[in-house]
Amino acid sequence: VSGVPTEPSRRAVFDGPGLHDPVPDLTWPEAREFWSGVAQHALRMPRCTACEALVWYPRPTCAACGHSELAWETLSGRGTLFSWVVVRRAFAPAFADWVPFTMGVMSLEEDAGVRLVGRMPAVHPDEVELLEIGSPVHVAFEDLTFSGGASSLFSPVLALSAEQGDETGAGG
Amino acid sequence: VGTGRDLWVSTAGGGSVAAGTAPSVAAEALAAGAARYVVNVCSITWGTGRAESTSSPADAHRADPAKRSFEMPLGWYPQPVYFAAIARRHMHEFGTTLEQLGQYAVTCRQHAVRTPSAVLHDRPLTMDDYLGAPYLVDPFRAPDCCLITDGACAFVMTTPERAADAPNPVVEVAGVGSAVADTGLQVLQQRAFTSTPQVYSAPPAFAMAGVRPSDVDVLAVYDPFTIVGLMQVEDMGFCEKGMGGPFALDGGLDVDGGVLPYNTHGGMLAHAYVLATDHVLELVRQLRGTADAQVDGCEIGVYGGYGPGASTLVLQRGR
Repeated sequence: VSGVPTEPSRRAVFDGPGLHDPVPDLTWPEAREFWSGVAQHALRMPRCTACEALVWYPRPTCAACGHSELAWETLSGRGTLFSWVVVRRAFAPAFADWVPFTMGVMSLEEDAGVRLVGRMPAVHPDEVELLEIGSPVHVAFEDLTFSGGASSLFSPVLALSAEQGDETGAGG
Repeated sequence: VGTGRDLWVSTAGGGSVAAGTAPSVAAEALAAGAARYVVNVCSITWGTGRAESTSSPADAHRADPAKRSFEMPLGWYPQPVYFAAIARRHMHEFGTTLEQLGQYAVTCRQHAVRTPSAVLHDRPLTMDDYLGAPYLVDPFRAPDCCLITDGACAFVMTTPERAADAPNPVVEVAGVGSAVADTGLQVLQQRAFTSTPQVYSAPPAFAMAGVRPSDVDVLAVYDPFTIVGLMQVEDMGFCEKGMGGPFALDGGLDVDGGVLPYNTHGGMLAHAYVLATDHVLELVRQLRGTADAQVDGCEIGVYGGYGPGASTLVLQRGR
């Protein structure tokens, strides 16, 4: 065994295709559905028309029952905080201006086993004591801007519901 | 190649999960007479690839359209972020502490310091060092994350009969198990967020070998992050679920006096990043009595493979 040690904190940012501008793959119909919902400030996911399970991530057939007919619907955009991290190192050039940033993992109200991640721009990395796993959170929307420049997209982000006194969720 | 027959080749070998299941694939080929000796090989150039931005362990994740569409644009990338969230959740569910996570890194480093082939052989790490290191992605610091290195590793398998007159003591394969995660690399959506498929892989491997977790003398697990080692220790049945942190902090993993000497060469955190094929090599050395940080009276060694899915390989000293 031989090795070339690399110290994570001293490593250059890994650069590569798509890492300056990691926009969704909109040639994929499922991604188009999701992001066109986001453009209208709505959180949308496919649901199985037979067993009514949410199918996330999208796939041709329901992961729960195998049924092949799925229908996209607008969800409440509400859920609970399942986990969180603070990203302090830019793992891609796109995020160089973002760091440090707080990211949450939300368990959806409609199915706690389905998760959505999002930056939490209202929670500064120095005030993570605000983050209590299990507390209510909701999806909000803002412009999607990478370090390389603005995109034409909106991005879903997460916000603490209690702190903001806003239980309206994603709206529509 | 001098065998007088076609070379038997399989793509089922390699590192991580395959490092644990390669022996069962080899056994089929040996039993069928398709091969006499089987070499399992793994080589990685991600140390260079990372430095030159040509390849990285995140390539497979970036290739997944779901991740490209629903994770990366939101900032969820790459593996240190995914597994930091798992660690945070594990802390919430089970009371795991930063110090307990750190003990996995510190113990592995102590073992690496005793192992000259370890990349971090000359880089000791104390708990104070660990707790003083800046966060990379909370709750992970750099020592929670594995090395990214170039390297290669291989081991040879054959039948017990052919091995009988080999120059080195024989190590026998006593049990193999494997399991899949239905969400594959999409760890964000896995229902059992703070578990690994070792829950399903380890029991049949132990049953095949006729051993219990308490019989195991040395453990080596695929450890891309401290939390992945911790969860596998729990999920393979070496302690109660959720107690992998206290188990480490009580010295359970230490090659000196621990009940379960763990990654005695330093693991991926401190030895090298060859997808844990070097872990299997380390177990072979332990069972032959030739390891640098040798466990006394070592008779049963177990490898835990991970990602995506899991494998369990039970090895025993030849009789």
